[in-house]
Amino acid sequence: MNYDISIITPFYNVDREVFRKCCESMFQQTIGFKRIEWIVVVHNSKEEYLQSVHELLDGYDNVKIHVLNDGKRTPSAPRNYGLERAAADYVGFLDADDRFTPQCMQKALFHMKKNQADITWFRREYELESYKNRPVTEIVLWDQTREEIIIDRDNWDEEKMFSGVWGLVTSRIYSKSLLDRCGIWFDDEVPFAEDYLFNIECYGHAEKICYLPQMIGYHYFINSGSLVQNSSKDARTLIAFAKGYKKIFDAGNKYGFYMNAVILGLCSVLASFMIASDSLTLEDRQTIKEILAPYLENIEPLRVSKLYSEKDVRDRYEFPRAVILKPENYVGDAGDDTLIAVDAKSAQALSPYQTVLRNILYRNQNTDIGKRYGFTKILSLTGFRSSVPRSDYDNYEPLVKLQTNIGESGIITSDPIKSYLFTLGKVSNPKLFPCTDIQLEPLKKLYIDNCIGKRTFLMLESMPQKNRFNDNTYVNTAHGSILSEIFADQSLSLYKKNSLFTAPPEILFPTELTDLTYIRLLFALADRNVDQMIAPSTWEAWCTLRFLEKNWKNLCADIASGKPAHYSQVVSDEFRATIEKHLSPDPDRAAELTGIFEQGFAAPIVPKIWKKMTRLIAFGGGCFTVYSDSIKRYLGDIAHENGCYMDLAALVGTETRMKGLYALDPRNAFVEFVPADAGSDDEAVFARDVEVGKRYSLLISTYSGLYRYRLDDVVLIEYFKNGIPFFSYDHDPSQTVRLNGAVLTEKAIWEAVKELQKGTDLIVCDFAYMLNDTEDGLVILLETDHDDKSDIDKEQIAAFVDTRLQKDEAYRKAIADGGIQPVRVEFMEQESQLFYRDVLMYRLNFPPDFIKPVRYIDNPVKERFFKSRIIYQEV
Amino acid sequence: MSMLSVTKNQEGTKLTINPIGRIDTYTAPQFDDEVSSLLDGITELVIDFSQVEYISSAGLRLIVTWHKAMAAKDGKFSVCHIADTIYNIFSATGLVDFINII
Repeated sequence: MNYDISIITPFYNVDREVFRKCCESMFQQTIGFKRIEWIVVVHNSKEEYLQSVHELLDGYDNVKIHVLNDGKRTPSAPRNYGLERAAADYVGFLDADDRFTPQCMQKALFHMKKNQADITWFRREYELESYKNRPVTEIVLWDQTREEIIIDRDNWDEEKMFSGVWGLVTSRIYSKSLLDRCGIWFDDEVPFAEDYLFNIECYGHAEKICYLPQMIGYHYFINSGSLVQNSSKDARTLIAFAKGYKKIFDAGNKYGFYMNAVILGLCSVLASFMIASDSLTLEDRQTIKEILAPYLENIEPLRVSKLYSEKDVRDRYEFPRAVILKPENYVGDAGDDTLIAVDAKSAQALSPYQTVLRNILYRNQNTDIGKRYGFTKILSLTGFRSSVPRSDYDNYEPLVKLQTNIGESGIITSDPIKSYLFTLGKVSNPKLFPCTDIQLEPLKKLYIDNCIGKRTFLMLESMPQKNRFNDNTYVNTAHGSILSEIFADQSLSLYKKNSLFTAPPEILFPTELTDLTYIRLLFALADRNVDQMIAPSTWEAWCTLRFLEKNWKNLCADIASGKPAHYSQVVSDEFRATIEKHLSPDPDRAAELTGIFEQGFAAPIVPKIWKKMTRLIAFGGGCFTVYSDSIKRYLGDIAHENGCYMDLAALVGTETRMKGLYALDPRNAFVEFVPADAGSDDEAVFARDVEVGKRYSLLISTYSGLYRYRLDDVVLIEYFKNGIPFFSYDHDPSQTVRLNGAVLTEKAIWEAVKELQKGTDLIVCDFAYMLNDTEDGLVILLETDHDDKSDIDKEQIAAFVDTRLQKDEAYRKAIADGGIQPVRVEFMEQESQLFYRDVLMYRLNFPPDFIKPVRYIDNPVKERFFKSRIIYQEV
Repeated sequence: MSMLSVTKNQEGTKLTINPIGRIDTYTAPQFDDEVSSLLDGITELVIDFSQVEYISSAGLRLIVTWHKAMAAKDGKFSVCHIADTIYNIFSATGLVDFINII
């Protein structure tokens, strides 16, 4: 039979459904399927895939199925195999996961024959398997208002012909006689861009080429594992790429073609692979340099055009030349600024601090933000700082909305978003921060390391996963997200997961948003083997133990009966039944506990309840410091650890043996330091450049897509060791009071109040502060352990606190000058802070984790609320 | 020591609670116990403040809790006969925005 065209398809393990679509595109060719000789070369494929090819294509006389098992990875060998057997006068190529448009063959052949062309070129459109992968654009410089452009030897336009993505065989059909006459094959020693070499040879011999700028003939599918898109390459592969490039460039130069765009484009791709590779030695890099230096050393930059912006021109010129021509940059000390992986054999590898940034940029290079700021071109820490601007939530809010409301992805992170972390924000406007599983991974690991082999009383739950966003995500707390990851971890058996915590999974992952303090205690108290407690903060831990102090009778009664009869929250019958299912009557334990509680809470109660208890892990810095002190009453000698210092799921520091002192921990975030007294234009410094004794706020860059995002809190650098800064939490600037030149932080105020308790019976449970009515002095509101203040001299207390505050020179001077009035002290009712939290929780429908205690009463609403809580003594 | 006594009046599914005395940190747990245990089957809860001398933050937390509890089961919750001083507290703390005051 005489066929109009032979189409060659190299087939390698393509999904049946995907290949079925490929087949349908062939069946639908308007030229008539039977007029096409379709040569399908099943290359090194599994039996099941070969079977699917036969199932789909057996019975068609024009389809020739061949099997080629040669162990080679590129499509060159199967294409050559097909070329040898192609019988028609014209040849085209179709990848097995792609499609032709219905009129492709008919139109291409029409123009080919009409013009007696050797090659006809048409356009390709693409489809993405995942928005993680973005193709290089295939726009052209051709006049696209014209249906047909004929190029011959008298009318040769090299810049248009050899610029952009021009070299793919799937956008062309070829004269078979040209290929046979000139002995043109695919060189299977060229593992990458082999199409380009094939086309250079074709162009080198073609007399006439027909361009069809308006005709979309090919539908291109980009899958996650395709050779082109997969960026993990070993040294052997990269050297083979370089050698293949040499053949391509030599061929082009042989014919005198314009090769600048090809050389710089392909070398940029290779340079990206080299940066991402962890296995290249210095010797390997030098080998690559030797191969490619002749082409790169004296090359001219590209011209600015529709294809290449000024930035593209600069990047394509500088980037490959920097990476390929300067292997000496990897000799000896890598330096603490570079982001390029050094000689894998050298002892001077990248530090973890450099590595985390490199990995974040590499992982997110194909996101919108990665492309906008050129992540692939950032080669150093200073390069990162100068290329990527600082950010705040205003930058992210519209992007988050695109994700949650439209289901967009790939904007700031390449990884699927698992959840959004909810924070309250300064004016009670909720903020959503995306969280991915790679971001959570080290936090999950920390949690598991802390909990494996232990029995933990966990004072937190995941948020109910109820209202799903349009990107299939939910809101959660950071701890709730970590908890979800732990229970999703396949490496932990179900038994192990269930034995980690006192509460069952149905309580850890409730379906309703409700106060579960009572239920948590019920399960924890019933368990004699609890040996540690974990809470998000010491506030939560303290509230829970205070609740225990007030409600122990009911708890003991319910432990005895095995029913949550005194649980007063209104929940569904189903949820209540779930709780009951996991409880069993334990009158012995109830009696034991009752005996303990009847002795009172004057002595530390926790060691009596749980004899194996070793520690409480709960963040107790900043606004939680007051509870860290108060909770000692319940803990006694049981250790309190702060755990890690984290914010927005960025692990910033891990606590050392010295409580409250953290070592910078770059496992999932790159941290920069902005001097706390810096102006808005002052540069952030890197970890290596911080100064001991100085205060800094933090910028974080994370896998989840925050880049140079400023956190609220300020840390103090305590010391520096082995390149690692050690810091303590210092203060939240939003809680700082500025009074006529004096600056009083929350920490300073609390430390003054705390000293009150030494040598007095006064126990301060909570506090807040505000400016007086004339805004020239401080009023401190104290919440103590009893509401009867008749025996307390407020003025004496105020004077004591004021004296302590005068340790600050500016404050003392202002007091002396009369610019500041001395401190006034008022007492507020017990549970005022908790009442405020209850009201906020109700109004905003948030769980307690989200709400921090109020320190600085800085707006009229808070002022009215807390002033109404002041206890006024009768005169 | 603070004292609180509580009387109750139920008409069908409507329960009216009359606390007498002070609702503060010491009496709030007892008050909570007495009221919460009666809420099964109640569709309307009214707290009558006519004999309440004083209510502290601890007591106000109970008001929020019961309001939530009744709202969760589509019931009604209200307070009545509150003195001006207590109304001012409700106003200053924002409770007037969501607690029904008869």
